Amino acid sequence: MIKMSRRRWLGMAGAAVAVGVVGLPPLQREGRAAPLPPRELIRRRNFPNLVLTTHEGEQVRFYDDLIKGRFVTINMMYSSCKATCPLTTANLVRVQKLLADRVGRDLFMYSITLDPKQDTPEVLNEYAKTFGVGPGWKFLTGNPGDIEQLRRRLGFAWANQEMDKNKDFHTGNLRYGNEPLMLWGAVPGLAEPEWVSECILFADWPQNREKDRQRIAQAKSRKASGAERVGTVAPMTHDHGQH
Amino acid sequence: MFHARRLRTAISALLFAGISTSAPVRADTPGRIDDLTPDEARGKIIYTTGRGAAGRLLYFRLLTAGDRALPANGIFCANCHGADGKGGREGNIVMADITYGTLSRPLPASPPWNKARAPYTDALLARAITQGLDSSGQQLDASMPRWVLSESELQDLLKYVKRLGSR
Repeated sequence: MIKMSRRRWLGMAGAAVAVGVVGLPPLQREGRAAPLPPRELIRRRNFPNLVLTTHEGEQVRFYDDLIKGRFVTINMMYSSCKATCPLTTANLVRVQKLLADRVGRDLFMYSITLDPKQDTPEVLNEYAKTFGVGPGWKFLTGNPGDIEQLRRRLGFAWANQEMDKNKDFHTGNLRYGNEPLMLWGAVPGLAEPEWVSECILFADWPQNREKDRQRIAQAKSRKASGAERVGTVAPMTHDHGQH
Repeated sequence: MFHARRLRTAISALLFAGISTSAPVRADTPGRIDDLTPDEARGKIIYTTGRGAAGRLLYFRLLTAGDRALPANGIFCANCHGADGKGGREGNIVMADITYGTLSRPLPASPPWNKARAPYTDALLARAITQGLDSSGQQLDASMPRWVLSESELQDLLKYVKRLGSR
């Protein structure tokens, strides 16, 4: 028997695997059904058609009623969250205002609770009212097992399982996308509202692209001129820490 | 061990007895429960509701969200720092203990969460609330709102924050 070093053996084993990977798929495909079209693949992988309830008490199916054929944003929150969720919600209310002509018409916003036991439709309705959430933005609750499945399928779970167990560590990202176009992305929910809306528009319908470019340019020039500062008051008279 | 615990129980029983006997005396002196000056009472409304003078909706900025101020619907001090000002923790966000006893003394670093900081003065506390810089000039966490307050609202809030933990 030829004496083989461990490294050499591993190298050869690796090469064999590589040959297998490169060589096998065409052979395998012959024996299988045609591969799924990508849109269908994404649907099966990411969008289970679970029944959820909106903050307005309406029963909806996640894929059929909320995602299919739509341009959407999705985030996760819970009403008793102290730091990140309320700030994110407040920031997204601003995003909703920036995209007011679109939200509810051909852009839909969804916030799914991480705490479905506490966050009944009534609790979520109160939450939406408190934050001044406008139409076209639905807060969603449901069966805890379904919500957990949704959280994993939508990519809102941590790789670190210890952290993932604690919902306090939930991600503050906003996912956005266009289902038929299969364009999906994510943006930090606490980022500048103009930038968040610019990111969302990346997944807009092609016929709106020119308008979107104009909108973004206008927002930038308004910002540069300082015309849209809200809530500004006279400069503070307190010192800057020198005393 | 057993004796120590018994001793501690005895001490706390004594302390408790001391407090309960002194309670009637204290009730006559200012500083109990909701015995607030008008300024402090307005400060408390800001602290617990995020509303300013005459129910005015307050605004805040976020370190990460640019210049634009956001309306403080559903966002107020007590939400994170607690009605008692003792703070807490949520995920990897430490919500600071802002009782005045803690603010007015220097804090050593407590890695990985907090850097060392100097004691707060009124001016430094005003700066922390409005600009999000701690008493040593370091950025506070991005989740601390940078509040837009009028000078009188800020003074009322400072007066109330000083009462936290003193009751």
